[in-house]
Amino acid sequence: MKQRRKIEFSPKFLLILFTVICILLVMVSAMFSKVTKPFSVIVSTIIVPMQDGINSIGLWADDYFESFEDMKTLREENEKLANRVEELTHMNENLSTDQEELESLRALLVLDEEYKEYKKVGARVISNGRNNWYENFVINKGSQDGIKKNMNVLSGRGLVGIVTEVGANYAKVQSIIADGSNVSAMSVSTLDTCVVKGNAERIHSDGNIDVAFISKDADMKSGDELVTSHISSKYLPGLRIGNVNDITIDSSNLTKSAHVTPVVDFQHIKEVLVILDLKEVPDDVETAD
Amino acid sequence: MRRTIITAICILLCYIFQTSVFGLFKLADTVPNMMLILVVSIAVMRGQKSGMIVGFFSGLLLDIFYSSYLGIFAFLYMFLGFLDGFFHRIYYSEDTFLPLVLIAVNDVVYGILMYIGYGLLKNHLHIFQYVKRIILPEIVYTVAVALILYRILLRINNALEKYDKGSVDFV
Repeated sequence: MKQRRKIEFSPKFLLILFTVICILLVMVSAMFSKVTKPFSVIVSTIIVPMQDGINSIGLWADDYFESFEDMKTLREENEKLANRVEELTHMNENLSTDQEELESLRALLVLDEEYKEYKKVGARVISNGRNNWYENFVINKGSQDGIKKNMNVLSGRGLVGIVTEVGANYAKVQSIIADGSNVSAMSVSTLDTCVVKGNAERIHSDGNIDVAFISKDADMKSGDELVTSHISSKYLPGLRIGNVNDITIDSSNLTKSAHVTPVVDFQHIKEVLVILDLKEVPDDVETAD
Repeated sequence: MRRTIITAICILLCYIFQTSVFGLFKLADTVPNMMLILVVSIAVMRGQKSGMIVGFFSGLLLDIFYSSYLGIFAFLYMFLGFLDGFFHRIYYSEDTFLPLVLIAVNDVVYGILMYIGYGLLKNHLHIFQYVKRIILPEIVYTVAVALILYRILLRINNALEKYDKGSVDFV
């Protein structure tokens, strides 16, 4: 027994032996494919469970690393989406601004239809004075576009003010709510005349404009519509101003005062129409405004 | 006997790692050829006979699962073990360079044989594509893994040699 174990094969002999075994194996497995089946069954019963176990560990590790990768991709995606949101918000803002502009331009178009008899030019407000209220503001049309001093300016549904100064490509507008603005007006229903006096303080407090010099006998009632009067020196007749309310008799007992709620939103004026027709009156005529 | 069992376990572990674990950590779609590392390492450390026996059984394992005929991989690995065994004479245990170079060279040979076996015979003639896409990444990956695996195998071998100094074992 001991002798046998000590027999040394030479490597070359071993090589030949294994080669023969291999060739035999190939031939056998090629010719009788079923013969090798038991081999696979035996080996697989040993190895497959091990592979399974190690696979589950590997899968766990793989999952673990993949979750890191997922996190990375999620971060990237998140960043991308945040950018997209920003972009879309910006776009949306632009669109809603456009929408507002569209609406105000449509309103202007309606106004244009309303005062068809006058030639008008549209303009944009490019600068506003001190506060939210459009008392004195600048529009982007000037003498180049045919604008002259004392032209009437419309917006929204009615009268905004009057051009006070004209440059080549700009014009300054004083609105009817500004201090020092006097507009000769009349009631549509009763034809009683009055003067709409701008008062910055009042418009700031309750959004109304003062109305003065209503005749004591006038039949003007609350809710009457005021338009510019035919006796005004600067304002074309029939431009809508607003609705009268709070009619009171002055302490002098000679005249009545009231307030008028303007039809124009004097806090939001973006586009205006300038009427290119001027009211022509002799210089020496005395008028209310 | 102890050596036989431990070597068998090594073969099994390498096989499982190559077929299961690294399948999940593929780099450039390749898996390191752990069986080849094992065969080359043992052949260099232990000599031709050990290399041939380990190669034969490693190849047989691969054959059983992955090839249609038994004996092809067995012969290939066995023969590689036989060739690498020649280098046992010039090898000393502190030398890590020789085994790594041998592993790389063996992988090239293996890759080319695989190309002939699986590519050329099926009329895939773009050898450069094959080299670029499969052989090169596999060599790099295999050598990288070999850097670690070889050290482990060396330790096991040193420990075994310490235990059965003088006793004669089959493998």
